[in-house]
Amino acid sequence: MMQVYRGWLFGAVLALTGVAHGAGDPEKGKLIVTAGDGSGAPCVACHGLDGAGNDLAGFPRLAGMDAGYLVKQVRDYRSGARKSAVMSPNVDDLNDDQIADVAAYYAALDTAPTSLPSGAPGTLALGEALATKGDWDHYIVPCETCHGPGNVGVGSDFPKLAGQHPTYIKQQLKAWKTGTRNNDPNHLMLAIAGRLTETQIEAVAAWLARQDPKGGK
Amino acid sequence: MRPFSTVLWVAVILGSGMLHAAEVPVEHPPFKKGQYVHHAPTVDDLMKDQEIKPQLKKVILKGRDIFMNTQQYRGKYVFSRLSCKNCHLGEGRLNWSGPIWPAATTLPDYRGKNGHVNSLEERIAGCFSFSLNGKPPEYGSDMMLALSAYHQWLALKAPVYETHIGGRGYSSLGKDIPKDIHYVQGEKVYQAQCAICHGATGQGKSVEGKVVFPPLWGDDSYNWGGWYGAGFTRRHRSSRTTCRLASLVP
Repeated sequence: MMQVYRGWLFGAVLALTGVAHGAGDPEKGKLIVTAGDGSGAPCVACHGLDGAGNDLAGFPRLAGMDAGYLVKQVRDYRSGARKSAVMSPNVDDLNDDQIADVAAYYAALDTAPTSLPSGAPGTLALGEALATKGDWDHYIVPCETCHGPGNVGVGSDFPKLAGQHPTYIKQQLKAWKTGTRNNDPNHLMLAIAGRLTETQIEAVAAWLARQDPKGGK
Repeated sequence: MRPFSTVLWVAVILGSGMLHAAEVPVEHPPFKKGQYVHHAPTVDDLMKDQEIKPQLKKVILKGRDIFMNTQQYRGKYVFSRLSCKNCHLGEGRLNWSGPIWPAATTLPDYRGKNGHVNSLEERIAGCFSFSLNGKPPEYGSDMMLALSAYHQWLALKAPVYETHIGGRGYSSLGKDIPKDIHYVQGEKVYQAQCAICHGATGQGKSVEGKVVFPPLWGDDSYNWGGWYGAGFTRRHRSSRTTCRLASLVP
């Protein structure tokens, strides 16, 4: 219990300090996206210049994501609050202004729906039920309760889920479930993901990935 | 730094790691001995139920839609920016988060709040007048019928006039207010635990005009007869308890 208590305090502090910097410059950001931080791979290598990412490789789509959310995630990779053997060495030489610039670049890009093959109807129906109605008997709140109508995201703390790659969504839910990711403010996702079954994770990722990133039906 | 392909390979290994984190517990007050604990039906149950006529199913689902998307009546029956589901979590089914079905099994009854015997419709009207800061739909109207049907269906198979109900209302922090309580400490707790959803000043958060996290006070929230008049603050109850017991906040 003590562990959880310290965890959310830490999370709350991160939430308060997370977006201390002003808006970045997308033009400067584009240069950094292409050139990288001076060591390791540049952003463009995995996330693309268009921010589309790559589903099979598990690289998230960044185009159209909230800039404040992206800033916090990159800073967390840099500090180790969010762990990734890929991301940490690739962003560790970026300063706060550069991170803000990169975030501003990707946030301003247009988003197109993912082009996925049609999923299994049963899986998608379960995913839709979880995302829009939840599973309250197991204390699983619908995704859209926090991520907003159409799961397009709310501010910098609740990222867009609609149109994100299913492999990435699955990876993250499993990372919260197992505790390998714990940089979520107030540990809200840790609580929810811990209650999701593997089948539910599969289903909700499949459904969310097929939704319009702009919230259209 | 590592060559790019090696980094990818490491990511795959990490991605398949199977550590286990402690699950965040759902901390409910225990049910007392002799209490009736209801398990309200779900929409899936409704659709499968052969005993309920399709015409009634339609009316129940309309009641659910009014309950979940109350803001569709903003400016007509609702003047706050709240919906029923904001206080009665989990579609009005969830224990300790103001489950609504007990209104169907314990009314008509005398209520101290207004000093007379209330019907289910009058109880629902109270929520429109105070919590929604609005104007109730007329008694006997299609809207009232739909909301009553939704309440009564959620109470399916619950004993009538059984008042020893486990998980009714909200959990209580006790009637005695601690002497050392202070708004400075309250602000700290609020900023650490509530502000992420309800905003730095309790104004709530919206996306394109749609409320995601409800405002906690002010013109867009409940009025004097809502949570305050209903005895939330009077009995030193905490709305945080609602979030916590719904395990929205660990």
